[in-house]
Amino acid sequence: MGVSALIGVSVQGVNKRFGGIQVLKDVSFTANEGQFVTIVGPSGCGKTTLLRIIDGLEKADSGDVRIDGRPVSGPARECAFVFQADSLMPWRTVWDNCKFGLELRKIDVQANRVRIQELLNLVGLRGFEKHYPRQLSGGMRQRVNLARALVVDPDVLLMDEPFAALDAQTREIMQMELLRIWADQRKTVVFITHQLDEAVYLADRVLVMGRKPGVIADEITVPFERPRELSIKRTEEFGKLVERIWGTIEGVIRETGGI
Amino acid sequence: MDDLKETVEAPGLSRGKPGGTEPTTDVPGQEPGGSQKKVIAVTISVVSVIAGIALWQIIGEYFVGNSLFLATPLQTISGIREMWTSGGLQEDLIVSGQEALYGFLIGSAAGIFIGAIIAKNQAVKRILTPYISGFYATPIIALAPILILWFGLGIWSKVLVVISLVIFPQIINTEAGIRTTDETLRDVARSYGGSTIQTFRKVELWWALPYILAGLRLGIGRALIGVVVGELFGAKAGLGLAIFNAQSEFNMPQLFAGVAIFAVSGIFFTYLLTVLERALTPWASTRA
Repeated sequence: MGVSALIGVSVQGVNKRFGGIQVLKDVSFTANEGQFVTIVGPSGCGKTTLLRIIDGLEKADSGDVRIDGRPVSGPARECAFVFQADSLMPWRTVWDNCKFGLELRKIDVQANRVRIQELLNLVGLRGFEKHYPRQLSGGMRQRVNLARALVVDPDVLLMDEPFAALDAQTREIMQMELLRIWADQRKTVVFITHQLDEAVYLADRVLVMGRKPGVIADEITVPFERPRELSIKRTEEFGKLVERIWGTIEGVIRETGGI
Repeated sequence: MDDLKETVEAPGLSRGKPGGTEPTTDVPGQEPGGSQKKVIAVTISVVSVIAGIALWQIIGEYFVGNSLFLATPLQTISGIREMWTSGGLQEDLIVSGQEALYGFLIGSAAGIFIGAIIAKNQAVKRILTPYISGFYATPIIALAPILILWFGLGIWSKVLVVISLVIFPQIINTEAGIRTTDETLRDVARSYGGSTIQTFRKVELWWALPYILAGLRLGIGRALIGVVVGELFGAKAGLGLAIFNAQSEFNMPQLFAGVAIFAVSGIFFTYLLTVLERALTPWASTRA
């Protein structure tokens, strides 16, 4: 990636109110093509709303949202959304869940069989094609979630706390797995989390959000080389970054009146 | 991709397969030896039925001793044989069977259709809801004589009685199923650019399917009741009429025979629906 990197996601001056409450205030950021950006913030800071606006699931009251330079006016083909746990269709097998996006977009499934299988192999689900979501563990279900999003070959992956429901060990494994898959697929990723170490470990850049209203309170460039081992979480430098983010969030929580 | 749509009933499939890359997955599924448990379960049910019939025979023969009060199972069977050899039973079965089947199919289809429409259209829902809750809550069977009066003694008046009994629970179930669809799953469809119709076909209908099947199961019993009661109020032929005639002649064996045939039909069709349920919702059958 050169100096003049292309912009994958551009959010400029986005405002959003629900009823009388200002959820997002003048939020601006960009994610370059192929970049991994995490957004971290306390609960109620509007981070999920921001992600839904980028995907076109919600409309901003004002401001400009662009994917690959094109304004967003509804669910964009360039994006795929990875929802929180249990957003798989329980009546579809792993395989059928993975082709869901293609079906809805009226893309030939037969022509993409090999692709789907490759992606299932990539996320580590070879041999589970005919299983139903109920037969899978939480971690495996999130692998299917990710595969379903990758199958439509999006330029931008929007991930909404995908590992929040997983236990601590599975979460760490999934973080490592996600980086491995991302290294293979090189999508622009906007990843939302409330876990500070997850935000730092995954990202090229971390955006810290304040709340009431939601604003970008801090922005941090993560210096670690890739590929990253999980062990970097135990380095002093990593700890300092987490501490800096926590400082910001703590300030936000204090100002806005507790949890 | 239909070739990949297999049920998970096959033994061994529910456990994590060798070759899966996640070694320590907690895959819930059927316990090993499930088929053996199934055999035991079926055996218990069969023994229970046989014991019940034996008890009925003993009470009827030794304690009551009067077939005017209680026909025994053996007398009931000979009642069936008499009705069969006279040729009446075959005709009655065809008439009642047609009434139940047509009424059940039309009522269920209409119920699913109307339920889907009111789930998706608030205006239609507001217009129809008072009628639906009203008709569902009232003993609609009381209207059967009027339907007979309007539509005559042929099968169609009874078909209408059956429809009126089957349709309302199905409307309510279908509407509830579609309405309660997980909002996240709707979002998933929208996020992939799904239209309203695609979301309906690929998400909401599937979500509602177990509700619809439960509605069908309710409908079976109500259809059989509709046939009997409808025929009591006026019919040219049918099993309900045969029961009514047997009663007026104090022919208890034939009365019991008619009732027994309805009971067996109820068991049979409910079982058939359970099979259908398992075939249509294989994802649900792996539930604990």
